[in-house]
Formats: sequence, C-alpha cells, structure tokens
Amino acid sequence: MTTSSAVSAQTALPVSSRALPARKLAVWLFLGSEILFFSALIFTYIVVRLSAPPIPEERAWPAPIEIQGIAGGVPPIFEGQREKLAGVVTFSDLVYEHHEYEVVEPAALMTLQDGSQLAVKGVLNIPLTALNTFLLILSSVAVVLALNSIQKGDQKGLVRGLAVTLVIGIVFLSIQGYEYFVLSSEGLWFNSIPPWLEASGRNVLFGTTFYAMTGFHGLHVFGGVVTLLMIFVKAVKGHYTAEVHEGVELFGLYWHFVDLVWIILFTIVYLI
Amino acid sequence: MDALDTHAALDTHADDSHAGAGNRTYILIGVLLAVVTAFEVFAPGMIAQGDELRPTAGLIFWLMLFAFVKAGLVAAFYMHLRYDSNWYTAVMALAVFLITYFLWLLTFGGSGFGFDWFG
Repeated sequence: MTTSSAVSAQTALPVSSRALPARKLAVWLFLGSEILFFSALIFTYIVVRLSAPPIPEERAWPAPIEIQGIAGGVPPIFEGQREKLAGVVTFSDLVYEHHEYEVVEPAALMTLQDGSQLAVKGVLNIPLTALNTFLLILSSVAVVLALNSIQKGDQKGLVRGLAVTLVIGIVFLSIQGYEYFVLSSEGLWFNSIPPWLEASGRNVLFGTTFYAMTGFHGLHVFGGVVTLLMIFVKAVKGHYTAEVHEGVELFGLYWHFVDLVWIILFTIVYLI
Repeated sequence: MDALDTHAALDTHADDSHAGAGNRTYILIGVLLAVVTAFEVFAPGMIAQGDELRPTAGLIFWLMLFAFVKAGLVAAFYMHLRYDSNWYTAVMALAVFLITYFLWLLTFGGSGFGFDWFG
C-alpha cells in the first residue's frame, strides 16, 4: 500500500475507528505526569502546613494577613480579652499582648476601639498576584482564539493571538521576578521568613514551600514562553495553515495547563 | 515544513481536533474566570475571618471549590476536553485517580505510614 493510499484509507474510516494523533496523546500523557508532579508539591505543602501548630503557638503557619506592628506600643485593649479591630478584623490577643513591634511600611493601619492603631500587612502581595492571575487567564483566551483563527486559515489572527500571549507571558515572569525581589528583600527566602513574622514565631517552612511551588510554576511559564517564541517566529513566517497547525494546538494545551495549575496554586498559596 | 507539521498534516483529521467552541464562548469563559477570581480576591469575607486572621474552614472550602471549578472550565473548554476524544479525558482522569490514591495512602495507609492529619 502506498503512502497516499494509506492516507486515503485512514481518512475513509469512521471517526471512532481512527487512531489518536500520537503527538497530541503524548502531550496529554506528559500533562498527566505534570499533574502528579504539581500534586506532589501541593500535598507536601498541605502536610507541612497542617503539621504546624495553630496560632498563637511557636512555628504556627502565617495567616494571609498578619499583625505587623503596633503604633505607640502595646495598647490597653490587648491586656483584656479578645476584641474587635475597627469592626473588621478580630484576633487573639494572646500572641501580641507581651510584645512590641516595630511598624514597617507599607502596612495598613487599623484603628482599634480605644483609638490606638495597629499595622496589618498581607504576608504576600495578593493584589499584585491577582493581576498576574488575570493576565494568565487573558493569555489563555488569546491562545485559544489564536488556534481558532488558524483553524479558519486566519494567519493574522494567529500571529496577533500569539503575540498577545508572548507579551503576557513575559509580563507574568517580570511581575513574579519583582515579587521575588521584594519578598527576598524583606527576608522571605527558602530558609527564612521576614523578621516581623519571625518575631511572631511563624513557621520558617512557609518560605520553602512558597518558593518551591511558585518557582516550579514559574519555570514552566518560562519554558512555555521560550516554546512560544519559536512558534511565534514560525507563525510570522506563515508556516501554519488551516490544515497544518498541530504545533499551535499542542503548545496551547501546555499553556492552558500552566494556567490551570496557577489557578489552583493562587488559591492554595495566596488566598487560604 | 518540519517533521511535526508533516505528521500533523496526516493527523489533522485523525480526531476531532478542529472541534471546539466559538470565539464568543471562549471569551465568555474567560470573563467568567476573571469574575470568579475577582470575587475570590475581593470578597469581604477574606478579611473578616474571625479570630487570629486565619481563614475559616468554610471559606477554604468555597475557595477550593471555586478553584477546581475554574480549573475544570479551563480543561473542558480551553483544552478542548469537552470536544475532543474521551481518551484524553481518560488520561487526565487516570492522573487524578492516582493522586487521589496516593493521598489516600498518605492519609490512611497501613503499616503506620499514614499521615495523621488532625492528630
């Protein structure tokens, strides 16, 4: 049987009896292994976090928002039972009543019922990371629209979608780099936490798990950007057509998976 | 045309790789993902957590549910699991089954190796 007749025989078969595209199946198997990889990181994080004692004990896991300092020393309110802070935040006074903290900017000042002020600060920069999350979602939309475009033979639409994704990927990595720079400047590293968290006796493994999970994800984004750069150059040169565009589709699968992982990580690492 | 694309030329119609939703659906899914994410970040309950500034179990449940729903939307629509061959869904399901099994082993595994989550 010649190659052309073999292809004809293949296309003549009903859809259900045709073989799956080998490369696409291989990418899915790879993504399956990636699920196991990231799950291992996440489960390790969960085990370590649940192993930590609760606040106010030593080595407690940091909450998303922590008390950073008390302006003007310890206010009388902490000498009694727990009280509400400006009607918004409540916390146990047990940890803080015997300590004085230096207020480090930037921190949100919250006014207590007795008029004294308390500095609270997010341990991680949630607004900045939320922006990164929105960007990744936008990039997923751009990739899927690019694929839709080339499936219809629209090469300009493909280039436009890939260009948007490429820019977003670079911006995402830049923001993550900036986040790492700021956090490491404050003292959060693989084996250390900022002094203001250390003073509260928070768990040093917070930094370890944070960088392990977000770092490996960042490496995946970097790998995606490098691959995208090659695909983008080919798209600009007009290599992809309505019939031949498997490279775009396979890249899209990988990129969406990276987005999917970030959606999970963002909630687990930053929000809870 | 490189080897990948030559192969793709043969494979393009080997499954429903062209199947998928329209641009409008993809954009709507993107808007939905963004709105849910914004809700997660800006929900008033994010700060009013009760004692110790720590997220409550209820909030963690809802945030994780939102996260998995969003991940499911990405897999179903953007990764085309909803439209592609069920074999790809099976691959993903196998991976999820394996991690669930490993989690079960980690949590309730015999021979004293299980992790005592709440002990």
